[in-house]
Amino acid sequence: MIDQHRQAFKEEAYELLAELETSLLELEEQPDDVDVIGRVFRAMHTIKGSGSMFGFDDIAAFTHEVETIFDMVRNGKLQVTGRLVNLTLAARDQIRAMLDGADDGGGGDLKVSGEIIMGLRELAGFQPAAAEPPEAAAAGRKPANLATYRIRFAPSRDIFITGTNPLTLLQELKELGTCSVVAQTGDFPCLEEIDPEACYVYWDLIVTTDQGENAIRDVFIFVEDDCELRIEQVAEHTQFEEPQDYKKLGMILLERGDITTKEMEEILAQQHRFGELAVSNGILDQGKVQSALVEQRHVKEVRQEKQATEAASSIRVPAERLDLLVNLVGEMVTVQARLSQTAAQREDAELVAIAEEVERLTAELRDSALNIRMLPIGSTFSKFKRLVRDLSVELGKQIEMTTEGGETELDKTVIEKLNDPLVHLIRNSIDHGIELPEARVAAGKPAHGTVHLAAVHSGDSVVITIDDDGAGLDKEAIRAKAIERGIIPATAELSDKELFSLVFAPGFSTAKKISSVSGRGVGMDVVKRAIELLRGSIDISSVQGKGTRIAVKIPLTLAIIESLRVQIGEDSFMLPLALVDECVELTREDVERSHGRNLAHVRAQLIPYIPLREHFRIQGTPPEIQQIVITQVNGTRVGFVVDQVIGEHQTVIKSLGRAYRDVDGISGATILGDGSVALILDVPQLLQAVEAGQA
Amino acid sequence: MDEFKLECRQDPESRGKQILKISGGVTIGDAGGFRQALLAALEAASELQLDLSEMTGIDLTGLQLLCAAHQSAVRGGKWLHITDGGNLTFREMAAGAGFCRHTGCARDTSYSCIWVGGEQ
Repeated sequence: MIDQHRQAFKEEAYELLAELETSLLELEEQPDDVDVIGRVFRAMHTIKGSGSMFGFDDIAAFTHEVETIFDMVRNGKLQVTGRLVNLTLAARDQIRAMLDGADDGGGGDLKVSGEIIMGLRELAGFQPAAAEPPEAAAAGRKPANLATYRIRFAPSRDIFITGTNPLTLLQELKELGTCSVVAQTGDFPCLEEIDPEACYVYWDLIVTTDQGENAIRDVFIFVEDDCELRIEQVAEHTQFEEPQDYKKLGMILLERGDITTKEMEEILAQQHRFGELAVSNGILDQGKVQSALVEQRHVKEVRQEKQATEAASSIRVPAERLDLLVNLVGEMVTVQARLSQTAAQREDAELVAIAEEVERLTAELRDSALNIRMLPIGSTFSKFKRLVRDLSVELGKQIEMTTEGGETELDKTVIEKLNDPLVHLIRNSIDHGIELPEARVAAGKPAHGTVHLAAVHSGDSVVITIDDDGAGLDKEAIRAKAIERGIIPATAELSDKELFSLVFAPGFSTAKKISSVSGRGVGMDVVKRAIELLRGSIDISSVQGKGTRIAVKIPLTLAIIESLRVQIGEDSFMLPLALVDECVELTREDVERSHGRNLAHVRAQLIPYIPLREHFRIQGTPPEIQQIVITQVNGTRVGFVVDQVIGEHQTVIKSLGRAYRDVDGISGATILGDGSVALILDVPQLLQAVEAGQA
Repeated sequence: MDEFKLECRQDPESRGKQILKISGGVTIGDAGGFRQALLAALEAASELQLDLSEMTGIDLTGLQLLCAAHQSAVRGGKWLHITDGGNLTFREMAAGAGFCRHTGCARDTSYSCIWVGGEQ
């Protein structure tokens, strides 16, 4: 029981640490961001609190020290500096090490812990006192169609005389939802001139409510004629809301009509904090800026609270259980195929109807089971941010990593297997791609380089691109190296694409010196193989002096694929449908006409083909008319000759087991409706094997 | 609400400093009297301390007057400040009406805005 709780704590802590890392990197860029400081503090506080609850006393004690420092930061007593972020990142790694070693009694190096704590205390300048507990989280309101409204409420001067108390209206408004109130006092006269019974104050109010604009209007219904009232919706908090930053301060003031476009441009031209300048230039009253700032904060808080509520409505399930579920669904799909086949053979209308119903349900079940395992790739992206940061420091380069499409979802197993190849590619971009700052400036580029990581859906695949604005690939160097290594003959004429693809050849590395970051010449071929094992493909394009783009295309899931079922003799094979372009007939005459060169004429184009019957040494004679399944692999069209094309098939992939692990050209197997086994062809590898055999 | 009461005295420790203690609840009915008292106290002193520790309520007219008094003090080169002795009623009223802020208004040239800081 205790163990179970400890395990749950560890899982939570790992998640918090990942979040912490992201927050710290964000903090490095925006050291004044109070929200981020708050997030760091809360993460530390939670780790400390639950850590001591479940007996991880060393972690709790260590985290307490870091938390104390961030409490000081939170209270404005300590500035965020690069050193603080570095130390806290180190502390984060140390907590992780302590967690990793917690079960076997290890628990991280005490000396390292000591050094980090000393460093932090040194920064703080004294022995810090115990941290205060954070404020209790505000009670959660159930968000339904939430929206945020901006209200300007300016009562008439004589509103008090008529017996109305605007404060009761504000009170009513607060009952509608989360409400921020800023009184505008800028129009108050001095004591000598003030009419004590007149109303000079007016308000900017920000309300987030699920009750709609009319509910707000109802609050003011009795004073509507006696006041100036403006209600605007400024944000809608839907399920699909982008967690992007809220509007800029200037934009809010502009929308409110507190400032003109011209004034805004003048302020922006001075490159300072907008609010400060607007006030010091006398364009705006502080109260107006204050209320715009409150609006910004209000919307941010509402969004955060909403995210937190959503997070709380999820449950934690061990990954193995999901894998088991997906496996069971796979079996189910197989059995369902058998059922459909049997029903069709029996010609029993009732059985066919049931089989169709089962087929529909199975398809839904399959989709939702696979969906559960889908994870956004963003968490992997944020891990790379740390990698880029550390590497660029190590190499003395200035590199910024930007990401896009972090919400793109991929199967959990795919994401896990993609990690290493991506790390390698990013390392390559940083080490070989981006130049040193001096070289960049000399080439007329900004001193800091950019690595852009993007993910986007494309059909049943996801394309991940890594762009850098570095030196680009050196075609001559690649060529020279390939000739030196004997990969190509000295006279070879290659297109750019063919030339770039040489870097994936085994043992190829053009780095002049070997660094700890990348390159012992074992890199890119391994990367390519890893991507191909995921049934993906990789593509390089590059412009010398401008940069390099590497595109990795990966299928959404590894569990089930759409494939084309073909037959050779008695055996069935599966070809991934995504790779198949078309099927054409191949008659015996055609074969004779090509004089054993294995080339087919398809619409005035010569397409090489591989007779699979020969390749797999299957006994028997081929039929009079065979079929060529034409596939497209890495931009080249190649045909595979089979006896017969059966049709599309939902293929549940089963691995072949250890004994057959090294069989070339086969990536797995599947069970057919009649219970027999069909092999799934590994098209890129088959191609390689045949090319190698010919060379 | 308790009865509104004003009590003005000279600070024994500092010459030229008046302490105006406001107790009970400030309502629109008291606003005229409150304004007169503030004017008189400001007239008499270079420093005015408003003691709100025993205030049991304040409406918008009262809050407006406090703000106006501060403005007059700044204009006259005098110093006006508030002590509330941790009076939660006053703090909640001021926060609820949206008066609390991070920095004072444009006329707060002496950076002594009475609404800055406080319990926020």
